[in-house]
Amino acid sequence: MRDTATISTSQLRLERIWVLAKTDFVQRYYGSGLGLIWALLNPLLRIIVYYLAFTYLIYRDASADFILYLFLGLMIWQYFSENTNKGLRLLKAKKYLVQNVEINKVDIYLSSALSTSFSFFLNVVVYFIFAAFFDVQYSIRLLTLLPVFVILYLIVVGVSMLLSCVFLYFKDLQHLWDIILLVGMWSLPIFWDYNIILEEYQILLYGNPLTGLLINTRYAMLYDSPIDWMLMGYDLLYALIIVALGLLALEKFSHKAVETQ
Amino acid sequence: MKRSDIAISLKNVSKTYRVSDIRSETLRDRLAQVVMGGSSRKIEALKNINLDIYKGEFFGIIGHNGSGKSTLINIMSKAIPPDKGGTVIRNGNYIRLSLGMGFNPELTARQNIMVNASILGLSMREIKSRTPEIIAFAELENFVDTQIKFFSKGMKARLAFAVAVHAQADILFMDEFFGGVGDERFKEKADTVFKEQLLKNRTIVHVSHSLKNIQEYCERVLVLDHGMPIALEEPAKAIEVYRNEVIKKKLQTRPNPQNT
Repeated sequence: MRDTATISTSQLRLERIWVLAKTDFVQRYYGSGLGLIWALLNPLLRIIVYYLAFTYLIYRDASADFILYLFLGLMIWQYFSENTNKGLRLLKAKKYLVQNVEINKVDIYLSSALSTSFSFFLNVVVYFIFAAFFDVQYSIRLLTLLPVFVILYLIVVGVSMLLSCVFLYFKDLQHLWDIILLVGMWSLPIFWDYNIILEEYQILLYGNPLTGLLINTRYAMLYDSPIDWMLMGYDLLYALIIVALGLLALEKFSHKAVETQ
Repeated sequence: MKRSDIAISLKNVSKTYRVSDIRSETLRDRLAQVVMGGSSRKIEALKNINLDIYKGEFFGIIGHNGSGKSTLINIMSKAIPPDKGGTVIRNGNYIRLSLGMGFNPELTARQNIMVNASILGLSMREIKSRTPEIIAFAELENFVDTQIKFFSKGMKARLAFAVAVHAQADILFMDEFFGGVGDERFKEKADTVFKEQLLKNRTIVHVSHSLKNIQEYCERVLVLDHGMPIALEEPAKAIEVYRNEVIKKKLQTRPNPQNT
């Protein structure tokens, strides 16, 4: 039986989330020639492509600031879209877990989002390398990033829970979600500055909870200015509501994953 | 028996599935169903099961294919809820063992042991200390860091078994999972570990078509026929009921080729 009687259930639970996340991450890169190096190479090559495209082809006079601005926008967006696309099928994909062991279903989502967070973290590292190259200044304010990321993590977990439950009933959610993601991407100030939108419409931007996260990430990582706490509070509220709805959906509908083939 | 001695208790448990005759998985189908008033049938997978399984008991479930065995296990594990009015009480955590339980072909044996052992409730420290033992038992010392996709069926089965016997749970649901895999020599070794390590001090709910195992191990056996509990007896009697009521009936209802 047990080697150590002292290990607590919550520690076991955390360890399991960690192991599931780690293997999910390793699996994505396993088998390719360069393996894990791709996780670092991908954002690095991406930022180089933006740089070349925007400085030589599109704007010609695009500033370094703009490249970093763009990179941050896409970094947040990619994290969200990758996670939710994966999350959509999560209940089906991990049916063997739901059916065979006593697992809190939320842990499946926590580990999946954690696995994507590893690549996200590598994106952040690449960003800082480039930012140092372009002489971006930082201060202790950078720490305000942590709560911003925690909120982002909560939002993707909550949205994934909701999507995977709906997906059990409507298989074409995948196609619908692709379109919603497209609308979502253009409603976010990724490629453009939200200040260019007419003031009376700016309120519309807040329909997308990622807007605030994006603006605050740029405050902390690019402009070294204080983050907008109002916006952060609003995002946290948004995240908590989505997570609560996700938990409710999971409780009510997730058994369908086991009931159907 | 005291209430605390009960591992699983089912009261008035039924399970009805609604199945639609037309496909209704997409948004369009769903809308069409609502607008046109699509038809759906009820299938009663389980009918009024009342049952107490005691702690430490070795309990068997037999029945023909589609008799509701797997649905019953799903309800006992609370992976699916019973129909309204039914209650399920389970004291203790569970693991459902089946040999087909997820190995990831792209990962190595070591990585797969890590994931599966963690899923089976082992801590990181336990996994690290037991990995050599698991590898040795599965006789895969030379393939620890080989991806599972290069393994033969036999190697995979040995590894699955070697990991599964470390499962940490009070209640084990064994779905056609039982000892002997691999060649005769391995089978013998596996059976010993199976009896001495896995089965001891646990509640076992065993679903099987192998009447030999049911006869040898179980203390009580539930016989299911089209979702109905038709007997709850000691093994010899239950098997008799199963042979007389279920198998014979099936043979009788089978169309006679000479008449057609």
